[in-house]
Amino acid sequence: MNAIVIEHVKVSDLPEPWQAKLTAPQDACVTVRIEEEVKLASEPATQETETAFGRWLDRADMDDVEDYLRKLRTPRYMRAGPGANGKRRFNQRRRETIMTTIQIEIADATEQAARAAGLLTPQALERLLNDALKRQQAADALLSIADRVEAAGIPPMSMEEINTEVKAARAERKKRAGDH
Amino acid sequence: MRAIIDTNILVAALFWRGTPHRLLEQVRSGALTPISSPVLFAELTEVISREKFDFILARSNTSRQGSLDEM
Repeated sequence: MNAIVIEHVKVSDLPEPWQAKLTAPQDACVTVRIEEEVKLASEPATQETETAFGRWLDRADMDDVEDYLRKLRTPRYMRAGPGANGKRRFNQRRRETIMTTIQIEIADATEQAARAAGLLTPQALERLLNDALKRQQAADALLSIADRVEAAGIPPMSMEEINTEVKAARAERKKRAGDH
Repeated sequence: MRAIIDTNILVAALFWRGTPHRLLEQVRSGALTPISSPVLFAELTEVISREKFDFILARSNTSRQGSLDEM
């Protein structure tokens, strides 16, 4: 594409609208570059006309965005059509367990990372919750020991006494290892 | 946060209320993830299997094996 460059043009020789845009004095010299603009292939896209691009261009399943999102948010075992194995498994599971649908709000970054790690499936979330519940139950059981010791009126051992017991156990282990 | 809790602190945390006990409360809330190893667990087992702890476990109606299983 050709461009015309005119050097040493006095500001006073420029068209008045151009001069108005410049802050240079009238006797100053400027360089003028004239170049044809690249013609856009089409009008800029609006919200109504904008289409998917890149890797999403060929995704016919995304034509109806609301329908696509509804399907995406539906648990996998509910997605299969009537009579399919997924539906049967889901109905069988419903009969065995009362199911609850929950909605949570998390940061976008967390959601993306969790989805990429495969943690946003109902099965993975159920497993995570069950693991957390087991940890809490185990911690409750361990925390309750101190309650019972206190209720039994057993005075606390000092850290020195506890350290003595730990050292003795270590010494016995060393001795056993040395005997073998 | 993850933490390795030494045996003496764990023993104090298990049996008596106090600062070490608060570590277990943090574990329950999920704020703290204790990291252990077979060696540390074996040492805890040996320590609370000592005669001095027989009395404490019996008086508090606490199962030694049950507690170790929960660990």
